[in-house]
Amino acid sequence: MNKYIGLMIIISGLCLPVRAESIPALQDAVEKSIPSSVSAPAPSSSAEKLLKDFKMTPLVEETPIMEAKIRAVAGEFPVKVKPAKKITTSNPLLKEGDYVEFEVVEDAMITADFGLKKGEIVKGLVTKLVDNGFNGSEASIVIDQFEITRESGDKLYLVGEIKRTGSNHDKAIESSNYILGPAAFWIRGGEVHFNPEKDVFTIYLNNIGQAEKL
Amino acid sequence: MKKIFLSLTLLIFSVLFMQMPCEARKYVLNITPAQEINTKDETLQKGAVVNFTTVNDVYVGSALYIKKGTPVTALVNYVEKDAWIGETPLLILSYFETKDVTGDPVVIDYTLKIKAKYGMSKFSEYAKYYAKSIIFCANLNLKPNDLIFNVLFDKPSED
Repeated sequence: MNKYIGLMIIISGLCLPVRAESIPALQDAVEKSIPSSVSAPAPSSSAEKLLKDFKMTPLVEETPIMEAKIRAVAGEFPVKVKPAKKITTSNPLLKEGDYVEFEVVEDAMITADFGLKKGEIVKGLVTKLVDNGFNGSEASIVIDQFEITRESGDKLYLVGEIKRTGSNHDKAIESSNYILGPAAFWIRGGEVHFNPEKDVFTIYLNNIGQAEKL
Repeated sequence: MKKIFLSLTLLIFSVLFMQMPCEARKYVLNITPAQEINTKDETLQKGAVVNFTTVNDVYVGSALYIKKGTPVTALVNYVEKDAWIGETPLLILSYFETKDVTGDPVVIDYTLKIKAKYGMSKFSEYAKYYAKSIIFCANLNLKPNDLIFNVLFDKPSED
C-alpha cells in the first residue's frame, strides 16, 4: 500500500520539472543570472563537518533566485497592484469586456533583470458587471485576466481575480420600512468603487509558458 | 482491488494536475450596429435578428481568429420599450453568430444587455434623456457605427 502511495507522490513531484520546461523566457532569464558555481559546492573538511553536525543542511544551496523561480513556476509570485485611476460601476461608460488599468505598487523582480517594476501598468478585463438597482439591488464587478504588454510587444500574464460587491443598504431599507413602509423600494443598492489611494490587491505571476499558449 | 483502484485514481489526478491548463480565458469581440435599432420598431421583438459588424481583428493567441468588418448577427431575447420615469428601455441580445477567417461559422452564447443610457457620460445627456422620458416614453435608438459593444467568448475549441 505504502509503495503505491510513494509511487504516486514521486509522479506528482515530476509535475514541477515538466512545468518548468514549458517556460522558455523565464528559464533563459534565470539560467543567465545564476552563476555556475552555485550548483555544486566544492567538498571541503569544513563542509563535511557542517553536514555531520547539521543533518538537515541541504547539499545544494538554495539561492533566492532559485526559490523565486520555483515560486513563479508554481504561480505563487505575488505582485501588488492598485487601480491606476478611480474605477466605479457608476461610470456609465464602463461595461463588461472593457479593460481597466492597475499599477504595480512595488518592484516584484524574479531575477535581477526579469520581473515587474513599480509603476508598470497592468490591464485587467472586466468579465462580469452587474448594475445596481432599486430596492437595494447592489452592483458587483469581477476583474481578472491581468496582463502586461511590454514595449517589445511581449505579453506577461498574471493570475488573480478581483471581486467586489456594493452595499445592499439593508439598514436603510429596514429603517425606511419601519418608518415609511413600502417607500424602501426607492432605495438603490450601492455602487462599487476602487480607490487608487487605499485599494491594493495581490495578483500572481502566472506559469508564463502555459499562458503564452492561450 | 482497492489498492489498484486507489493507485489509478491518484495516477489520474497526478496526470490531470500536470496537464491542467490555466483558467478558461475570455476573449472580447467588439461589435457595432450595422443597422438602425429602435425599440419603437414593431418588428423588433423576441426572436428577431439584428445585424452588427466587428470593429477590430480578434486574435486568439497570436493567430487571427475573426477579421475586422465581419458581419455578426444577434438574436433578440427581450425588448422593453416605451419606458417611463424610473424605467429604462432595454434590449437583451443573445446567441451571436459570425464567421472566422477560414469562413467557418462561430456561435457565441453571450447575453448582451443594452440600455438607453448606454454610452451617456455627460449630465446634459442625462437631463435630456429624463426630460424626454417624462413627456414621451423613452426608447432605445442606436444608429449604425454609433456605439461599440463587447461580446465575451471562451477560447474556441481546436477541432
